[in-house]
Amino acid sequence: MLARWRDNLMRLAELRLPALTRYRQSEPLPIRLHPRRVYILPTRFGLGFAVLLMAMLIGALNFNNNPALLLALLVAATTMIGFHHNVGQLNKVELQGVAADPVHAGQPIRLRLNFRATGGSERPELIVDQNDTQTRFSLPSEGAAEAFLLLPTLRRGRMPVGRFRIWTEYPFGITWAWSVLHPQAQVLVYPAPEHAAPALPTGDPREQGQRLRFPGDDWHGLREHRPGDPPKHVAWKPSARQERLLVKEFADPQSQAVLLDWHALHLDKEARISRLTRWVIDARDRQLPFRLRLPEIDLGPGIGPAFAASCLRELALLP
Amino acid sequence: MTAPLDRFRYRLLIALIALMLGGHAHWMPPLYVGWLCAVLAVAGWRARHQVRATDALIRLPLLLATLAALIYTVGSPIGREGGSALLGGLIVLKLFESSGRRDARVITAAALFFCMIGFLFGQGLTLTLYFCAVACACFVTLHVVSSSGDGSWLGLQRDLRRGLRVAGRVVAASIPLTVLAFVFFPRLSSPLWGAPGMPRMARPAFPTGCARAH
Repeated sequence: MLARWRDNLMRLAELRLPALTRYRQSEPLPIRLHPRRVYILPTRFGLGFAVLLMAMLIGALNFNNNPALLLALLVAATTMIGFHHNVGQLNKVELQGVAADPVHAGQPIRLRLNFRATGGSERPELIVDQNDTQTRFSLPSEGAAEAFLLLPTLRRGRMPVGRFRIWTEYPFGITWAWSVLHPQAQVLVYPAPEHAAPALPTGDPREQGQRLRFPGDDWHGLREHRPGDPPKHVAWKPSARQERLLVKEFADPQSQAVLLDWHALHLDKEARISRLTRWVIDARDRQLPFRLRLPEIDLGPGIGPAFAASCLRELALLP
Repeated sequence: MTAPLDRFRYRLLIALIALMLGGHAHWMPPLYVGWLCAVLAVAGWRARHQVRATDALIRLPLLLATLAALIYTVGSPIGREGGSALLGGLIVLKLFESSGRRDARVITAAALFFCMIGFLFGQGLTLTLYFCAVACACFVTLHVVSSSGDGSWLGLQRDLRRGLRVAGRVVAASIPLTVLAFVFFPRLSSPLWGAPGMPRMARPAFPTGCARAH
């Protein structure tokens, strides 16, 4: 109830107060913060501190007590100078890049946010948050640092990183300065693998012993010489008998490759994607060569994590 | 849920309260100051391993004992001396229910207020400078308890050094503004409410019936 009320209020604020929220629109990287897009408000403690400060000032004035007034004014002035330090923590901070290693849908993705300070002093207490997740990091003066944010993923494909907030209560916790960052960046989310998928299908029986990979290690036969063939492959005796130049050809049968065929599965689209994802992962883990046949593209045969990653990427980006 | 307070930051808080009480030792009865120092020592001993809020069964007797000490040494807890001494005692006792950084901030702000109370009992230059120094220490403490330390002694040392540097710089930058505001801040021509001990409440030392000697 409270969250819905807050969301409605925020939506209304964005409609009615574009000047306050214009920086919430997505924008290309790098994003550089400056004082006009850094906002400041008292913390809950800061509100109590303001009441206390007012009581100190009124008390000092009422008692006509000059040392007490001096102390109250010193505290007030220090607090006010603290506001500038608070805003200064975010000023000249630059978000340079957003990256993440792909994960499967349903797993949290670890965003890497690359920040850089382009001036000012060290910023030891910066916090980045989005919804309920937050991370704390420090940024050296004129240096760079990475902040890591764990975000939930729901569906496959390209996921916009969305809006997040950078804020700090430094130096005294009386005020908090914040700014909203909404970079035009997306991260890749692989499809979720099927949990109880059937075992990985072994090679396609129709292709058993028929498809070959050239060149290979096993003797395959003779063929006519083509320019560029190495001289050591020339079969001299058969060439003399045939009165034309023949070369020995070597090849490997390719039927060991597992064929993961989209068209062979009779499931709905997402279920097919989920099963193929599971099989790609299994083939990768078992170090098996495999081919992936999708509606628009035929990948492989190939082997290893890099090939599996490209297959998972194609599966993730299927329309 | 506020971030927990580690034992080193807790000890820093105890040191700040001891500093604050030091400025009030000139008017508070020594027995009461001694009692509060003993309570501070118990708070420090209690948090030698871990900081956690004390059970109400311990806090209540401590509160009653502090009240008893106050009534025995100062008199009534109502009035300028009694109320101020009670506030000092309550700030010390607050340590026993503190386990988070929010509590530490509240205690620091209360200590700041209690520094101002000290000027009701003396307005000398030394006392003014002392309480201004304690106010600076309050800002250093606020900085340290707001920092996300790792709970180690080395972490506290690092935060303390940074706090001294930052708070020193901020306080130094605020001095011209303070002086300017102090000079030009409008004063009240008359108090907003009755101020006990103020000159307008004073009575002549001589009885009104005394005749001037010729």
